[in-house]
Amino acid sequence: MGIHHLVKNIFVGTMLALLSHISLADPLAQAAAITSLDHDTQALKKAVLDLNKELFLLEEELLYPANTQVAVFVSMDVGQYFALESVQLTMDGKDVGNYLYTEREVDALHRGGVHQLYLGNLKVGEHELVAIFTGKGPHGRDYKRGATLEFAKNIGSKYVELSISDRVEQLQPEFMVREWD
Amino acid sequence: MAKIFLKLLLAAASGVLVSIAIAGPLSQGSPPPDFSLRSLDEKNLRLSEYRSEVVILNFWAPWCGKCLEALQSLDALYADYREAGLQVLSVTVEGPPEDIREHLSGTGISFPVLTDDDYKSVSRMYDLGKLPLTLLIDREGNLRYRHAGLKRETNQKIVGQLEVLLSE
Repeated sequence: MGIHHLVKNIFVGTMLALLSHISLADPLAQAAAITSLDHDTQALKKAVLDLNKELFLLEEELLYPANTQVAVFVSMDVGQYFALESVQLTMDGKDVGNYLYTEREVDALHRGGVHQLYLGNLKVGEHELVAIFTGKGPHGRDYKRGATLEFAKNIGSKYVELSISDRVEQLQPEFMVREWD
Repeated sequence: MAKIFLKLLLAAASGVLVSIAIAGPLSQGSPPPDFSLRSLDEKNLRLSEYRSEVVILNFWAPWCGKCLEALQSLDALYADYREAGLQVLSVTVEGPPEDIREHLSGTGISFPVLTDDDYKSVSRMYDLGKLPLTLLIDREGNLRYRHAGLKRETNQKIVGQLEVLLSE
């Protein structure tokens, strides 16, 4: 939160400075300044938002360089036979994520949203990813399934998609792990 | 013009200093750490999804004598201010859920009770000291007031602060 909060503080501080400038000016200049204040505020707000976005991207680039970056996403296609509650993720036997999905988040996945479950760094070489999906299966029963992916990490970003879909002929959910380079 | 730039520079510098001063996981005026936990009625709830409502977030444990008293006071507040935009979330640091259900049976607590017994990840993020810990979060999701423990005047203070937040 640090850098984004910093940007917010700079924005608030700048606005205070602008306001104090108006209060110190002579009456004629004050009237003119008030007229243009709205435009200045909007321009400043846009500049701060742009700066915040750039900082966010820079932060991500620094923390997760493209050469070592691994990102894991969750997507859902239909999901009639499975009500997702959580996904637990382990990478090379180490817990790296445990995410509880709220109703609103599951609804967003149903509507085509993709959730970034994990973003981290991995060395070049062989790795194993295990995802454990927990939720309610057919007939509202507790349901827990795992999906494993053994993959080779090369130089460059690696994207992995955990996909939940319906296997209609068996009336069961299906969990797939796909690699994207 | 030069004066304006000087003021902007000073404001930016003060922004940096303010930001450094308030850094930390539970800083008043900043958003507290976000989390999602499972409730006793088997729903996953996420704190950030209650933005636009005033949230009272309460941490407690079944072995804490004053915690149940605090929960009952919060339930009375919830009944009075729910329509005005109050949401109460309580997080118990002990489990399992069946034991908590039994502990709360007959109390009539109507707000969501979340359990953090598996990983204690949320309790760790919030660096709990004295229980009950009660946090008041405004409609923009910023932590505004914090009460550790339960004193005689705590409930009265919470009501006053709650009314301020609801009127914003």
